[in-house]
Amino acid sequence: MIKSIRARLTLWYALIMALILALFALGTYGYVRENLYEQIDARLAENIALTINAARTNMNDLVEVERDTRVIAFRVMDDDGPVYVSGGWIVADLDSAGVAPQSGRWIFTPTRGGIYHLQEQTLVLGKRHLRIATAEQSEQIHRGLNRLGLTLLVGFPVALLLSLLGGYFLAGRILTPLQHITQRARTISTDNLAERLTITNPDDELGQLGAVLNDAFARLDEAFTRLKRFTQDAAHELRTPLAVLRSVGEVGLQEPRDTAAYRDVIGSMLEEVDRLGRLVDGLLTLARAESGNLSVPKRPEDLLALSQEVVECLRVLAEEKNQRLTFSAETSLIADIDRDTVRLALMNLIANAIRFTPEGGAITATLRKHGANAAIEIQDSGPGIAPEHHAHIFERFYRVDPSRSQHTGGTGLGLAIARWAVTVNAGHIVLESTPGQGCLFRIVLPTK
Amino acid sequence: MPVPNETSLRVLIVEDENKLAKAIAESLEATGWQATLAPSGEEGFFLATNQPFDVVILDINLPGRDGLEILRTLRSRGWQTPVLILTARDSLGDRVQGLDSGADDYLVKPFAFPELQARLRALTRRGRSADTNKLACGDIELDRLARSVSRANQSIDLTAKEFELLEFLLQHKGHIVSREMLAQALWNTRARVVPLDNVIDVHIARLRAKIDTPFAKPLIRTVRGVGFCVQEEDR
Repeated sequence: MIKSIRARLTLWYALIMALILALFALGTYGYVRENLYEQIDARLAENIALTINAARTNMNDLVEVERDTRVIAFRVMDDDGPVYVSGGWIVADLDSAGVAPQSGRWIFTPTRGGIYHLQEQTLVLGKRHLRIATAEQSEQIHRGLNRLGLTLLVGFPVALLLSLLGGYFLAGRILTPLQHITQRARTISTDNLAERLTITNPDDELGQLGAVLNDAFARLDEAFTRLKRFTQDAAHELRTPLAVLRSVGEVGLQEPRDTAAYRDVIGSMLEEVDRLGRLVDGLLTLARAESGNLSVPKRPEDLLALSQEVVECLRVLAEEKNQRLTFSAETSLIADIDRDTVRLALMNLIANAIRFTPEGGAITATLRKHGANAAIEIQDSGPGIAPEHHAHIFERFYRVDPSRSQHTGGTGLGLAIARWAVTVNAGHIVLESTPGQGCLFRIVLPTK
Repeated sequence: MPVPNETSLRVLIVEDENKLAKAIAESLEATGWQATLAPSGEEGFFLATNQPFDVVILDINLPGRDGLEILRTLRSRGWQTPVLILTARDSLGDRVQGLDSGADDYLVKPFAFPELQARLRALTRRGRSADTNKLACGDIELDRLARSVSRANQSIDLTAKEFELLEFLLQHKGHIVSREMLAQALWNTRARVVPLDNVIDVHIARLRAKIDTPFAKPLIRTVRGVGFCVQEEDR
């Protein structure tokens, strides 16, 4: 296996060139030879015609034929033997060699040397069967042909060598910019992911390659930044309950207490443990979803019944805050979904709406047709979310107001989980909100 | 305080994490179980084949021999003791594999002790069928057929969820019920990422307002960080 692309390109180039050159050489040689042979054939045929003409009118005319034409040798035979022979030595040679007359192109090399082309034809003259043959020397022509063959044979490797050099040069020219890209890409690492390749011509193939690489770098950069932020956020979120656990435990042990106080300390610690457990569960769910090995079994489900169930389940929370939670549906819609995950998404979105809407507010859930799909919309009368947060709101641990994370009590994973839950059901989730006007979360699911 | 009908139940705990094994043993012994510890797969296998147990708690990741492998070997020899797998592996595939290997139940770490105990009770329940139409605790009575509740002969109106909640608590009378158990039993929700805790707390508060507040002695006790419990007398 040849590793370098340059070497491989050159070899391919040379191989194809060799093939073309060989075809060209063979073609040229064959064409020239055929042309020359045809000329001889034509002359021989003409001479035979002359001879036949002479034989037909007067046998003595054959002498004139011998004299006037360039025919080297000919003979006329009847059943008993030769009638007239010209250039006897070829005939004698033919006879002694025992060469039978050949039809078509007949090339004979006598012992005396030289090369002769022959043609023979039968003529019925009264009761006589005459066989008339003519011959012509073609040594000159063959010498020329040999010279042409030799020239081609010598020229072939020379041309091949030249094409090999040309191929090597061309491959090098093509590959040089690629090498530049390779070197440049190699220097871009996690430290300088923001850097990009310089593209001279965005329309040619190399420019396209560069653009694709730059695209990949951009995605990598983004993923890296997100991962970095996530790791920091996750560490922070995990550290908070750990800090509480530690301090509550340490304070609990500072001085002797009665049983009830100890129970309280331990209970408080267990609450934090629960929070940690919930956080880890949420992270695991999302991690599994991201690694892509979490597919859900889908079945036709009634979205009306499902939404109603979730709303009724969470109604008590709204009641506690004197909020009006209403659900309305234009029509009953059936979607091919996994009930549990969609329920999870709805639970998180509605609980979120209740959490962020102040006392006495209103939350409205609506099921409606959305083109060919079904949409479940959750509108709240909360403070709303500014546009600059919309792109990030579904990211893990993203908080619109970082200082509020402790008060609201969520894990910071609710919306991320909701988005995942909708996505695995082949749907999508969007947020529409202007500050002061509340939020509208819309889950769109494909209907049956 | 040993609960009478659970005395002398023997449990084998095959678990290599010593702290956890001891905690499980201690919690079970406190409610009258007899616990035996096996810190390795080999030892667990030996004990299970040589001593009678009522139930076995089995970890999967064990030094020496894998828990599932031990279980399959034991089951292939016709060993019948109920087994609860206790593991940190919680994917659906792991659950299926565990149950297919011959386990009777599957609980994922970290778990709540009330849930572990409830499941062990369920696994060792042997044909005890009392009059289950009526549940009672102290002066409160719940009639499952009539779907009525009364305390001190005073009828109390409960919503459907409140009724189910009280019913579940009374079924586990004397034992702590965790929020996870309630979420699973009453809301049919396994995943902990569902925000149900607040919902449960509101329902508990409302139930209390109806069955506890008007009466002298509160019945539903909150065990902070763990769950809820109904009990006849104060501990």
